[in-house]
Amino acid sequence: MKDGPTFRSIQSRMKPKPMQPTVFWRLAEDIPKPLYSGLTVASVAIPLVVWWAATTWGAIDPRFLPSPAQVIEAFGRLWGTRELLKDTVASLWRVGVGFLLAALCSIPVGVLMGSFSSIRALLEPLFGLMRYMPAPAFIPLLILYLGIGEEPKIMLIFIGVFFFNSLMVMDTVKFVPKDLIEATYILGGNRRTTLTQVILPHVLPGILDACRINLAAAWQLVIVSELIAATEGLGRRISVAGRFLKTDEIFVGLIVIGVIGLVFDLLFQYLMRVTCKWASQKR
Amino acid sequence: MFLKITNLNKNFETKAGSLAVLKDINIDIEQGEFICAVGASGSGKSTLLRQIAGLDRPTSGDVKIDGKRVTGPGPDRGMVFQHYTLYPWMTVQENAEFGLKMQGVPKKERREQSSYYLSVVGLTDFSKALPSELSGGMKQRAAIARALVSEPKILLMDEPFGALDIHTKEAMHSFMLDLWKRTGITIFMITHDVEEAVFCQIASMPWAHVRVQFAR
Ligand SMILES: Nc1ncnc2c1ncn2[C@@H]1O[C@H](COP(=O)(O)OP(=O)(O)OP(=O)(O)O)[C@@H](O)[C@H]1O
Ligand SMILES: [Mg+2]
Repeated sequence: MKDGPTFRSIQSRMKPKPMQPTVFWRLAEDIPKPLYSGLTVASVAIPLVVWWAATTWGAIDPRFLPSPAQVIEAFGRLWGTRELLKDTVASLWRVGVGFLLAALCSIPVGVLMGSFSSIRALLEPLFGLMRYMPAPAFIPLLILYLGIGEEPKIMLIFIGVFFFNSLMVMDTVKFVPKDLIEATYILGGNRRTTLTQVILPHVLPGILDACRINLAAAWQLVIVSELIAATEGLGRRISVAGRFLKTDEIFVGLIVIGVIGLVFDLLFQYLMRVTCKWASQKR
Repeated sequence: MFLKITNLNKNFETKAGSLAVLKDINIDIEQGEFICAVGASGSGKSTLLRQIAGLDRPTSGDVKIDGKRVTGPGPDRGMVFQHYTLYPWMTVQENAEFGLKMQGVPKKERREQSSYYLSVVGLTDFSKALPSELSGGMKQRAAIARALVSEPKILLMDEPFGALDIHTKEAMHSFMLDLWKRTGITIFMITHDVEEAVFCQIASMPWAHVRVQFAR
């Protein structure tokens, strides 16, 4: 253009889409607190009410879908014989040990992979491959190598968590701003102090988040491992109940599993809020 | 000569070929000078500063500070970055004393030292605040305090006030001049704002002036 930039009345070709004011559909904005609390309650209450209504008026065979009252009763029964507690403790113990071992190994490995290209080059291809092998597919091998005791179950959780967690931790490290690392060098930091005093605190929220997500995976794997070979555990409880058509006990098992998982999640969120105030303030 | 840059060249290897960003740069700065360098966006100002800071290696030529060749970053040089680089999880005071902490200065001394420089930049009241609770100008003042705490021989500043409004910017200018007069520190400041550079000159400092003109 010889005469320099000018406006060419593109405005007349535009079809503006007006935005109506809204409460419910606000994008990336907070909604009023009462509405939020109401929706939160509804998300649990509506399925419960539907369940209750269906079993009360739906004339459904309780062996197919037990009513809430029957499930509560089954809960009382299992709790009374202390079987439920024993199962829960057994599952929690397996997850605790397996997940802790996996976290203890994967966090340092992930931080090193994120910080040093050399270590990333060494491990990322292998880990990337292992990640796509579903952990339950290792069960036959684990039974072959480790028998049917606690070891294969803990190992299964370890395999299922370790590779994912390492790669997720690695990703959080890659997002540490280079400026921050260079500022540390200027202030006289060497590689070791930069790693321990700048990179680590910066990725701590990301590590907690990765662990939170992978704990959910560990919790699923323990149930899977118990479905196959176990004398106790929540997964075992469900599969036995299924064999005897005790649908109410299946429901008890499922609900306990879900609630414990949710408690884990809330614990991690709490931990995050307490240890990383600076990161939660951003949102 | 305190800071001596001789025949500095810096090329970046890019997909489109070799990009010569710095060509035969020669700069001499005396101890205690306040030098402003001006250049357009993309002319290589940050690149030059990174060579002085030791964050990057020149393609050829060298940078000497106090007769010693720069081979890497070190606490004899303080730097204030173009972008905010405070540690977000540390309070302002913890940020300010972090350099001393890494150098093994005992806690009591680094508290005293950082408190002094926080008062110099006027952030005493915010020493317990997190960086996210500060305004842009306050963040840069905190970054200046952090750079000053280890009392470097030279302060390198990369468009430190580029993102500030004109009033805050002017306040920061007189603050910098005052600081410079009181401490006698050598300052090498980079800007794309000619007025900012000229400001140093007209503030009765014949030796602080637009010394380097980048061409591209
Ligand atoms: N790591 C790099 N790799 C390739 N090219 C680079 C790199 N760093 C800078 N450049 C190029 O060098 C030139 C100068 O960049 P520099 O950041 O020094 O500019 P500047 O003068 O600081 O600009 P501004 O005022 O916008 O900050 C630019 O053309 C940029 O594309
Ligand atoms: Mg720049």
